[in-house]
Amino acid sequence: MHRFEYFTDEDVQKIHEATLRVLETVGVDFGYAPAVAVFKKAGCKVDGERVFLSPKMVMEQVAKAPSEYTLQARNPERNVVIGGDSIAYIPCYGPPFVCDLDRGRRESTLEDYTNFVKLSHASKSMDITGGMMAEPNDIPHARRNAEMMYASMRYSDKPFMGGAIGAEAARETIEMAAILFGCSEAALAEKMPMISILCTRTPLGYDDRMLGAIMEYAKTGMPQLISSLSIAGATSPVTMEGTLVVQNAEVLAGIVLTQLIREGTPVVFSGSSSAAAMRYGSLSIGAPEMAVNTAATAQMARFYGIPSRGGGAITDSKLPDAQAGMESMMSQLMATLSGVHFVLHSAGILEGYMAASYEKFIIDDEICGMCKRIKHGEKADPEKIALDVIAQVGPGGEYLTNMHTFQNFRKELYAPIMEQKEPYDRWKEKGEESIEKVANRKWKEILANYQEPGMPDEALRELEKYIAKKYDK
Amino acid sequence: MAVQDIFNAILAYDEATVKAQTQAELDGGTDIATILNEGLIAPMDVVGERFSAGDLFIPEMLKAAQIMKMGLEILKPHLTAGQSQSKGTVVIGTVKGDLHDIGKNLVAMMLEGAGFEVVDLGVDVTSEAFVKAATEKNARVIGLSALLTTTMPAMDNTVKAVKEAGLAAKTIVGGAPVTQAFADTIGADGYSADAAGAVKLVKQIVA
Repeated sequence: MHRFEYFTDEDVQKIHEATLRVLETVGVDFGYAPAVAVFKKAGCKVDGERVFLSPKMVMEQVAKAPSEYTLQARNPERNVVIGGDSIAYIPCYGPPFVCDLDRGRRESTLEDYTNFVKLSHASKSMDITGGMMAEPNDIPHARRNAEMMYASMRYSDKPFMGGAIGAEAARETIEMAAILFGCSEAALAEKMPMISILCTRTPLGYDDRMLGAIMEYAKTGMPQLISSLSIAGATSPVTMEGTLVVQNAEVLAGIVLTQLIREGTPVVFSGSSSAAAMRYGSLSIGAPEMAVNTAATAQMARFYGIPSRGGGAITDSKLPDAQAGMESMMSQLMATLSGVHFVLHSAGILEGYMAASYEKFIIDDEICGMCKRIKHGEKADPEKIALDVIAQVGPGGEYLTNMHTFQNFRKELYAPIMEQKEPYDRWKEKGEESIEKVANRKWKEILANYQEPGMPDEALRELEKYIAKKYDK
Repeated sequence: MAVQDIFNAILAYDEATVKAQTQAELDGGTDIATILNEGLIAPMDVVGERFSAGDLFIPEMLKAAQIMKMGLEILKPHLTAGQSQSKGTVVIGTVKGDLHDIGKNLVAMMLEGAGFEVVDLGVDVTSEAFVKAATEKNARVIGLSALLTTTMPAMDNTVKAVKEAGLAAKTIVGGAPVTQAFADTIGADGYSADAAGAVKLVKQIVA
C-alpha cells in the first residue's frame, strides 16, 4: 500500500524551518525546575522557565531517538512493533464518563475500566490495552493509577499504557511493571512492556506533572508519546500550517528533553491537534482538519525519523450514530493511510474525548478491522493476479466454487465482526436491528465469554501486596 | 446620525471608526448616555442575537466585544457614577492545580462584552486567592474553571472556602468534565456547559 502524503516535501521543509525558528527565538515554557536544569546543563539559553533551543541542539538530540522498537508483552505473541511499516491500534484514553444503551451516560468506574481491558484483550484489532480507557471515579484519586495498572496487567497479556499524572504515577507504573515481569528496572528497559502518553500544555508549554512523568519514564528508558493537542484557532494559529508549527515545536522540545535525560529513550512523535468549534470556542475532534493534522503529523515524524501517533476513531457526537461513524472512520482511515504508527483512541470515544461508549467500542473495532484490512496491502504477483484462474473460468463462469476462491477468501476478504450484510427480509426476520443494537449484544457477549489470560499467581499476589501496602491504611 | 455610525461600525468590526466616531460624538457634545447605550451597547445586543441564531461565530463576537470596549474606554473618564456602574463584578479563575485557561478566558471575555466587570485571577488559583479577590472587589459571582478530573476536587474546596468566609458571592463552575450533577454535589450555585450559557447564568444571578 502506498502511503498517502498530504504536504509536498517542500512544504514539510518550510514547516520544519519555521519550527526551528520558534524553538530558537520564541522558546517553550517548562514549568518544572528539574527540567529547566537539564536544558541549562546542556547549554541552552534559559530565561526563567522559558527554554530556547538552537537548531543544532534540536537536530542532534532528535536524531538520537530510535525509529523503531518493540514493546514486549507478557505473552510474546502479542509483542507490538512501534515504527517501520507497522501500525498499532490502541483504544480510548481519558474519558471521565461512559455510556451504553442500557444504562445511559454516567460517571465511569473501575468496573468500566476493567471491562474495557477485557474488550481490548478480546479484540483482534486492538494491539495494546489502553490506559485510563475510562476514569475510575469510584476510586480515590491517589489510588486510581495503581488500580488501573493492576487491571491492565491482570486482565490482558497485551502491552499496556502507563500512568501519566506526575512523577509518582510514572514511578508506580515502573515499579508495578517490574513486579509483573519479576525483573529489575534496568531489565525493564530492555522489555519495554508499556508505553505512556505525556502531553504538552499548548501553546508552547509543559506543566510540572507531565514533566515529572516524562523525566521519570525517560530515566528508566520507558517509551513515551510526547503529545501535543493544539486547537487551531484557539491555542494555535487557525491555519493547518501554523498549528503544525506549534505542535511540532512542542513535540520536538519534549523529545529533546527525553534524549538529554537518557540518550536513545524511545519516543513517539505524537500530534492530535484539531480545530476549534467556532460556535463554542471549544475543541472539535470530528473535524476534517483533524484528519489533515493526522496525515501531516505522520509526515513530520517521518521527516525526523521517529514513529508517529495521530488520528483515531474519534468524534464529537454524543451517540454511536451516523455522525460518530463518519467522523470516526475519517480519522481512523486517515491515520492508517498516512503511515501513522500508533493510533490512540482507536475505539470507544464519543463527545470529543469526554465519554467512552461500549457500543461504539465495538463499532470502532469493526472500523479498525476494515482499516487494518486496507493497511494489509496487496501484492501483484501471479497468484494474486490469478490470470490462469480467469482463463479457466472464462466469460460467464463463476468463482464461488473455484479452488482459488476456496483457498484464499479468508485471507483476502474482511470478515465483519457484526454481520449486517443479509438481504432486507432476512434482516427484518432477525429483528430489524440497528448496528448499535448489534454492538450492544456483541459487547455483552464478549464480556460473558471473556477468559482471563493465565498469569503466575506469585506476580499477582505481589502486585496486590504492593497496592495494599501503599494504600490500605 | 453619527451615533448610528458607531453602532454600524461595531457590527462591521471597524475599530478605527468606532474610536474616531466615539471621540467625535463626545467632542461634539452628544449626550454620553446616548453614545453609550445606542452606539456601544445596542450593537452588542444585536451581536448576541446573531450569535445565538448561529450566524456569528465566537471570534466575531469577541472582536465586536473588544471594539466595543475600546469605545467604552474613551467614554469612561466622562461617565457619571451612575452611568459607569457595571452590571456587577465577576471574579474568575482556573482552580488550584489546573493550568488550562482557554475556556476560562473565553467566559471572561464574553462576560466583559456583556457589560460585567471581570477580575481574572488566571490559572492555578488557590481557594484563598478566590476568597480574597471576591472580598476586595465585592464580587457578585465567582467563576471556577477546571479541565482535569484531577483538579475538580479543588472546585469543591473553593466553594467550601467561599461559604466559610460568609461571602454573598455566588459560585459557578464549568469546564469539560464538569457537570450539573457535580455542581450540585459540591453545592455550587450554578453550572454552564459553555461560555454563552455562562453569560446567561451570570445575568440571571445578578438580576
